[in-house]
Amino acid sequence: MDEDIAVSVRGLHKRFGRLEVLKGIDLTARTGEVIAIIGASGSGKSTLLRCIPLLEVPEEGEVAIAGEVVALRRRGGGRHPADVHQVNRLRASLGFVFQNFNLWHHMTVLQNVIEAPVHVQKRPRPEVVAEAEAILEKVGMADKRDAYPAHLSGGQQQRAAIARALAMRPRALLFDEPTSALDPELVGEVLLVIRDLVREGRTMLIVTHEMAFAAEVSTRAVFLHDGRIEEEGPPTRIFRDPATERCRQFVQRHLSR
Amino acid sequence: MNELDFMSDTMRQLLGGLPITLQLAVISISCGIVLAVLLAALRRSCRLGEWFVRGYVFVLRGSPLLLQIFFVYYGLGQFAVVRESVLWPFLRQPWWCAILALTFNTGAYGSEIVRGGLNAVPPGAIEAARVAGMSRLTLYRRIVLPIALRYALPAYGNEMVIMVKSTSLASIVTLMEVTGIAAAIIAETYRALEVFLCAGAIYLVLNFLLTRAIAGLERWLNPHLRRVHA
Repeated sequence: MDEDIAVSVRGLHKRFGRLEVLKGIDLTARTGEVIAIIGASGSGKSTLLRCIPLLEVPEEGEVAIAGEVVALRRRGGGRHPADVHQVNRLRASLGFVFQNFNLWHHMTVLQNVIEAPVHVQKRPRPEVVAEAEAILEKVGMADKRDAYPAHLSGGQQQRAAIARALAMRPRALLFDEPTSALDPELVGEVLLVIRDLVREGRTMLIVTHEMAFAAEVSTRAVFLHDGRIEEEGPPTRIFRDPATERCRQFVQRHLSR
Repeated sequence: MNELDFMSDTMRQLLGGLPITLQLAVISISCGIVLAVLLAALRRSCRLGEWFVRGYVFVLRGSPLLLQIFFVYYGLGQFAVVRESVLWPFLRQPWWCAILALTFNTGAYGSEIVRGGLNAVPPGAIEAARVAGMSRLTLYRRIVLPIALRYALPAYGNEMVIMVKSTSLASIVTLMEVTGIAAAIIAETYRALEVFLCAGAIYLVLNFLLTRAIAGLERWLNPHLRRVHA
């Protein structure tokens, strides 16, 4: 087991019915890396990200978190986790941020943040609350700790969702288009929070359409096209001097916006 | 006896039936909730369970409650198996028969309400819980059921109100609850209007209290839907 590897996938194939969305993906995120996953809609980038915590189970290939391979078993037409306890344990070691925030609306911001650390990781409540308050402070949501999600703006909800992910003390943070559901004027506050996390040296995989942001914060960029990694490398190359014509066109189209 | 004395005397007699009315309502509604959740869970568990519950709901929702009470009270006794079973000491009593029929009936309606509540839980909330590593049990206990309860409560309140009124059908199998006593007084006095007014007032008060309680519960469960007083 290589402790230095936060997340890795090998030979990932994913099908939805007859549509093959991922056609063999290999990707490794070392601890401390910030990987930007870019590509057109339908290129498979969200599906790739969702395969890591097994929100989608790939038909072929393997997923490993912190070097531990997720055991999958073939049953019926597809594959399923062989050991739900293993999957739940590995999921709890990651932080996942959704495009649509997906906060629990019957709980306050603070309750959202402490829910999984208390009820999944079974950590003592006072300790979790203290840590949650510090995290909310960091994402600028301390004054909203007792507010309900329905009373918050999209940007505030997403910052609360980031706090919820951070409270898991995750090995890696996975962002699935974290700003795509936001009004343009609210995008900045969320990117600001993510930028802070980059500065802390956290391991992150970010699926995004914010090219300028991806170019700025990532240590590596991956360009997906039609279910395959078409090109990957340092952001200086991918965003300024891509090798493939498709990547060049894609980046140009998005950077110029 | 003048009108006012008659009314207050009637009221006093009718209130004597209140304990049985309350027993029928509280027990059948409570057991009905448990049955409704079990049926809704069974419906989601497997194909066979789904068809069983569909059939159950079809029969109990599609036939009159009065017939169901008759069936339990008069019908079951025809089977020798029932008469010889350990349940017979219960099934020969109208009180138990009424409780049984009312519970089975409200369980059918309730299971549909619970199913609607479960279906209304946003998939994103479930996904967020799964990705946080929640086990199935924790997911249901902490996320799915609390959210489903909030969606189901208004419709379930309706069902409870209907059940309070439905207890009056138990009078037909000789139970002397409020309506049963009312019928007996009318048979003696032929003063139907006054007696029925008194009985109706009792049900009105019961349901007024019930709807207030449900509204209070709804408010308590849904602070996120209240206006913010900042």
